[in-house]
Amino acid sequence: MKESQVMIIQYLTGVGIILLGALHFALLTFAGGGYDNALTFVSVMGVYTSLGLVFELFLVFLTFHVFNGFRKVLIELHQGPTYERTVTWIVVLAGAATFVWGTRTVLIFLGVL
Amino acid sequence: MGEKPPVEKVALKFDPKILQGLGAPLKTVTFKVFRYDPAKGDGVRYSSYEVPIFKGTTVLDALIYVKEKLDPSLTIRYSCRMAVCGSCGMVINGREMLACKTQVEQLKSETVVVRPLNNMPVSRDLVTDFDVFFKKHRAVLPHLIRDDLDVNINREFQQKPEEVYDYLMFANCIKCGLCYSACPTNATDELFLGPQAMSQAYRYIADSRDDGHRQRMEVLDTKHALWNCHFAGSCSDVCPKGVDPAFAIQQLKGMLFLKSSFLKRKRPAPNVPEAQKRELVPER
Amino acid sequence: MEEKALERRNMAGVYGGWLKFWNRNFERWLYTMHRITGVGVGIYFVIHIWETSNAATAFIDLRVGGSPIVWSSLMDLLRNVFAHTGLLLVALAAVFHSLNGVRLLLSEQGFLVGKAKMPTYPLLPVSLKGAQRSLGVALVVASFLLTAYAFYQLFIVGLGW
Repeated sequence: MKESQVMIIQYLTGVGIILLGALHFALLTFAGGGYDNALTFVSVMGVYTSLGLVFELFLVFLTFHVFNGFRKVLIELHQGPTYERTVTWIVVLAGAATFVWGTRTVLIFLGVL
Repeated sequence: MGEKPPVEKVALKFDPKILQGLGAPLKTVTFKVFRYDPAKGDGVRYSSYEVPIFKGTTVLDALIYVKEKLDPSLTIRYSCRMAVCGSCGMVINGREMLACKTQVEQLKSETVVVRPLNNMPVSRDLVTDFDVFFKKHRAVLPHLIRDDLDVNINREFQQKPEEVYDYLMFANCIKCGLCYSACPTNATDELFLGPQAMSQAYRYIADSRDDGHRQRMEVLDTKHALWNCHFAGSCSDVCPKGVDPAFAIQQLKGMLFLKSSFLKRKRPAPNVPEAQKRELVPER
Repeated sequence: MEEKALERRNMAGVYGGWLKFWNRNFERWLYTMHRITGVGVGIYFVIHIWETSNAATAFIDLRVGGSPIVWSSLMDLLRNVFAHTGLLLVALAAVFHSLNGVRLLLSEQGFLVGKAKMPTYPLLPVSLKGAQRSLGVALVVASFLLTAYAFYQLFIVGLGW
């Protein structure tokens, strides 16, 4: 994949994160009845049942953007073909693991798991 | 012939302050200079020198004074002493500057620390090895590329003055290496092309006579090139000729995404008509 | 004849290149902060996903006849000054990184960086005088203002100050 194609996705996921992150923040504060109320069992359950898929999309954007960011920083730190290939694989696997663990949360709240 | 205008009588008063620093030194400044001799294997040390500073004394003048009067073993690189050759780049009090262009008075300091440029191997003392720097410059094909160069060997290509200003700023690069030393990505990424090479790539891509953007973008759109610049802007901040490499690199990134119409619409400039052809080089 | 192998590598490194932003231009500070906030929020993201998923087992407990006390006891554990200060820093980092990201999205595509012109003395760069610098100052101010709201929610509403 050309580096410019990776960066276009980095930019687009960044914008997506700003929008969905603002929504997450809103649900935790003014749209959730204040911070202490928003984190009660009942409120969280309510949010996930109505917006579970939105959270999943947020997770997709975040996983790509964060782990691609880590990849760029690690590759700028040290260079070499084996090192770069190893870093890319570690970052992809760590991203996949985080994505799976986050999807698990959504599925639990939606009652699937 | 008209009347002579009235002569204004102005009383000139001599102010002795204008002679300060000309006949006698203004002050003495301590220079702490980076010393490293690979042949000796001693490692890095800093030598201190007390240098008398006159009005207009540059850092280069001070270093030449040190070499002539105090320590002939100090190794420096310089040539034109007027900021056009790009030889005397150094890190002076933590900032990349040309030694010939920096007046010691403007540093406003009693101590001046002089180090060689960052991110390049040090050959000796303040002299660094520019081999990799020049190699990266050559990698972006810094010359006009078009299919019909041979056919047009005796012809000029049409270019309006406005089209010259599109790339003129970047053509002023003197390859001094200050931007390369200041760049945070160059600080850790040895394969990174660097602001100088990429600004020169833009100088040619933006030139209306050039048709080589496909080849150059193949070099630029890779790992350790265009997308490892994060617009820290220090390259433009330290450039002594106003080349503004940061500007050039952001334009190059734009050409791949939000400003992609530029490359799609680009056609190399036509040549000047037959009647203005000149016999300079025998036709091949 | 030349002892190339003995030449000193002389890279500025992480401290000299990524962290040392003083004595330089404003955009260099923004670059350093963008990197620090990005790595910081990224690490928080991984921890948050791990923590939330582990806490979610409380729901499984509920379905098999357990109680939601597991969830509320975890929330009680986290309702203290240290955890909320940490979250406040995360909020500041996330807001700064997002707003600066928007600035980078525009300026890295060639907008807000001025226009190439005929070079005249004192040969100053156009990109560092363009609109992106004013936008940078504005977004730093906006980050603190938005974090002030997060402070209100975390401490005044959340901790009852």
